[in-house]
Amino acid sequence: MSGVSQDNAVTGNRLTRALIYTVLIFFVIYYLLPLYVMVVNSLKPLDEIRGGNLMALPQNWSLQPWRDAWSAAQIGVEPTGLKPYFANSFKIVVPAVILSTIVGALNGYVLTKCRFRGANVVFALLLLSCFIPFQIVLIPAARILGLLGIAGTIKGLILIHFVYGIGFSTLFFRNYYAAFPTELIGAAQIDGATFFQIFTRILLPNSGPIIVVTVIWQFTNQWNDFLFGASFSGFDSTPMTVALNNLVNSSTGVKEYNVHFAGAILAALPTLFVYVVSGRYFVRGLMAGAVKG
Amino acid sequence: MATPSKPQFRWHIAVFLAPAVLVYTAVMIYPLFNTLRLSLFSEVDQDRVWVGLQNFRTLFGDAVWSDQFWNALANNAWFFMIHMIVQNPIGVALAAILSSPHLRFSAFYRSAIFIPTILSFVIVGFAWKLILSPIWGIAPGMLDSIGLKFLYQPWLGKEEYALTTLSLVSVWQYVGIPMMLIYAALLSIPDEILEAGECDGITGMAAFFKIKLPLILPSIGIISILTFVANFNAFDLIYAAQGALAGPNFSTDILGTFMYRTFFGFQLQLGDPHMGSAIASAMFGVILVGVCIYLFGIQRRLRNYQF
Repeated sequence: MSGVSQDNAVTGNRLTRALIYTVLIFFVIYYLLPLYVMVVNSLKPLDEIRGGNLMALPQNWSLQPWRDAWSAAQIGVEPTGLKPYFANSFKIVVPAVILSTIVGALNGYVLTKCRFRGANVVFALLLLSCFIPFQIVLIPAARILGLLGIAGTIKGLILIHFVYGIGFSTLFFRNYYAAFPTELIGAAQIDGATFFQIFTRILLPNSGPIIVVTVIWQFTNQWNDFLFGASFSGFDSTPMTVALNNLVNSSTGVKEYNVHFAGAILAALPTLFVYVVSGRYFVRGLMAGAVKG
Repeated sequence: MATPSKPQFRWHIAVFLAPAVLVYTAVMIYPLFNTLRLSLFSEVDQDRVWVGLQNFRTLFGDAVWSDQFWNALANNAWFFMIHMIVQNPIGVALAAILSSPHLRFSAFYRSAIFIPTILSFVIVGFAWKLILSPIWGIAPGMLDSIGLKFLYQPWLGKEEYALTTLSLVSVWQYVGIPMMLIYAALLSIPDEILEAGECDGITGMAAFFKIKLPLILPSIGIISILTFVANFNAFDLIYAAQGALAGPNFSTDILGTFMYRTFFGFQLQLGDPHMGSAIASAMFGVILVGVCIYLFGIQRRLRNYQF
């Protein structure tokens, strides 16, 4: 892995060393500053923000903006806060991530280990969803959802996210399984393992890193999705990002920036949590070849 | 990959693939082709009539549409250029620094830089809008404190700066992706290769440029194509920061926002699904061309370097 013998730009040279740390610290400040501004201002009463200095620490620490953002802020017509939308996002994203990861894993397995005629065509079609602009399918997809009777519902959004997630999951798992020794699978076949036994007993237990990469990728993409949420959600299935946008870009009433900042952080928490919990496996998964040509 | 030895009728593959393929076709393939098809029709007296390539002729040639289209395309190209010349080199440089041995707190730096990548556009757009705001923002004050106040402009509000500013915000958000991918690629270079280089006296910077860089070229290729696809599909950041009108005066209009306006209409303009589909098809074409150039031109050449 990252061998100690690995010799790099730094060969004990103090000056280079200092330079490297300076560059890194500069970048860290540049990256954490906006996050700092968000956190600090979400803890201030509004008149302190009006007073001007976004950088200053709060004089009166207050959790009120957070409470407002969570359960009292005016979003659309109802003063419900972000709570119900937060729940909606979870109800949409969790099943969609699980489904698209499972299907991606199965696809990757079938596409690499049971080569059949047309496999490349199937793969190419699956890859389409990695690079087409999503706006392109909005209107026909809306009609399909209508035909299925799930337009504007949580189920509809689960279906959309699930299907659009398949492309990247399949790509990740296919690349990962392509490097998996086929001899092991042959050996299992000789021992009489069935199609699904090979998958659940041999491939899945060895897929840890790639599952982490896929789950992080899918979760962040689907949680942060705005376009599908804005186009396909109904009154009681609006996800978090759309609600947040309604909150911060509302043109009526007083602009409560502290509440907006608190809401923005609330919207960011789940993805941050996923990254913090599984981040250390992320690099390992990437190294294992999630993204290769 | 090798084929399993016994060719038999593998019904389970068919059984397994069928539902996935059906759902995928219904929700993904069919809408895609339907949009491409719609672009060849137009509405005349509330009837849908076949017009062939007329919509595209209008889009590329008729000043009412083409001015907006070429403007959006040029903006989009500029948006992509900034990512290529700012985001990717910085990402590679950061990855090279982070992968140097004995670096303290490297996980901390890595995470701090990667975090914006996992946040929503809505959050990032909102935070930067306030930071750069002439009334509230901290940007004027910070420039003042280092004596560069005269440099400050209301960047997001000026036609000549808005697009570049937004591109840089997007770079700020996404530099984590090239950094992570290159970092992973650098770590997976086998030690033996580097040791062999050391024996020949290639160390430090030379080792990076002569050994590591050629080895990670395929990863850089992938990053470039991912950037290309993401940039030409971009929509959310502009929409969240500047609205569907992509102001000031359409100076931040890119293909995504242009198409959204056309498809769904805005303010006084009615939505036009046929012209919208034509723009969508043009976008699809641009991306397809880019991806093909990568797959058949660049990737093959890069692969030759692979060990």
